[in-house]
This record gives sequence, structure tokens and C-alpha cells, in this order.
Amino acid sequence: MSELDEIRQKKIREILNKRFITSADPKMEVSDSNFREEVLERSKKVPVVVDFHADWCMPCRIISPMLEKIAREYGGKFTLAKLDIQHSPLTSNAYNISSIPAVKMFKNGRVAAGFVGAIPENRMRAWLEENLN
Amino acid sequence: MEECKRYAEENGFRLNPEKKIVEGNVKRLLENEKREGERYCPCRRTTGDREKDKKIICPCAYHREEIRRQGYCHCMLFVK
Repeated sequence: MSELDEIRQKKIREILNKRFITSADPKMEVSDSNFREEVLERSKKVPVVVDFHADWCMPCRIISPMLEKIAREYGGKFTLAKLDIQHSPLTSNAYNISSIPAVKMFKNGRVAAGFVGAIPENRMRAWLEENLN
Repeated sequence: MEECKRYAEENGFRLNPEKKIVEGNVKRLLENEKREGERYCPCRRTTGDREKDKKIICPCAYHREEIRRQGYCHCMLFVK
């Protein structure tokens, strides 16, 4: 392998690593203690999609990876946040979360849109397209 | 689980063929029964008002309509 090839390979590895690190985990965990700052304040700059979930909720386990995959694809067009309702009852009560999974999009510190339940990926994408703009 | 299966069959639907989903739901239903005295739906929050919360005891008040409309109940235990 020539020196030039080695440099090229090294560069490719660096780029792939960088992409992997930044896109491997596109979500952040939020709770009662940081909801205001991480969701409400942040949503004044970029839409924040909050996935209200619980460990034992089976449909939550279906939609969470879908949301994460889409968040990766959208690359920063929105921020994905996950909130465990069991550990954050105040926020869950404040937003009247009566069933999960519940997904809400926050813009400018307010709820702009939302859906409840495990919806198919194509409907989730349509919902995002409709509400991100 | 047999109880849920029998209920589903008697009412014209069936248990979700995804075994993990059924097992997860049944496990939580039994935990809810042990902790709160009733088999509350795993995907709905209790209000603390026992009369209101009767609606979310599995099989909940909404499951038939949900199965008819979307093919599965909210927690995906029962499917069409």
C-alpha cells in the first residue's frame, strides 16, 4: 500500500468514526430536573421530539428504535429526547400523559404536535414532515 | 397467559403472535395486580381514582374499538 493509500484509508476511518460517534446515539435522556432546560429552552432553537416511555411498555420498545433511526437520518433537524414516565411524574402529569408511548414535538417552548401509541414508520415519517416545517 | 388467550379466542381476536410482546405485557399486568390490586393496562397511567381506573383494567374499555380501528389494542396484547 502506498503512502497516499495509507493516508486515504486513515482519513476514511476518521470520517467514519466521527459519523458513527455523532450518529450512533441520537437521543438524550431527559427528566423532571432538566426538562425545562433540555426541552423547553432548546426547542426555541430546534424542534425537540420527546418520547414519553416506560421500560415495561411493549409498544414503546417498538417505536423507540424507529424514532432513533429517523433522528439519525434527519441529522440534527430535530432533537430526540426520551423521558421515562415512572421517573419523571411531574412532567408526565404536566403534559397529561395518560398512555404511552406518547410522542410530543416541542417548538418555541410549547407542544406543537403529538401522537399516542405505536404507529407505523411511514406514518411517523409523515407526521414529522408535516410538523417540522 | 392462557387466560388472555382464551379471552381473545372467545371474542374473535387473538394474542399477538410476537411472544415477547405478550410475555412483557402479561408480566406487567401481574405486577400491577400485585402492586395495585388490579391488572391495569401496562401502557396506561392510573389516575388514583379507582372508579375512573376501572376503564383501564385489562381487557380495557377501549380494546375492542382499537382492535377494530387499527388491528391491535393499544398495548398490542390483542390483535385482529
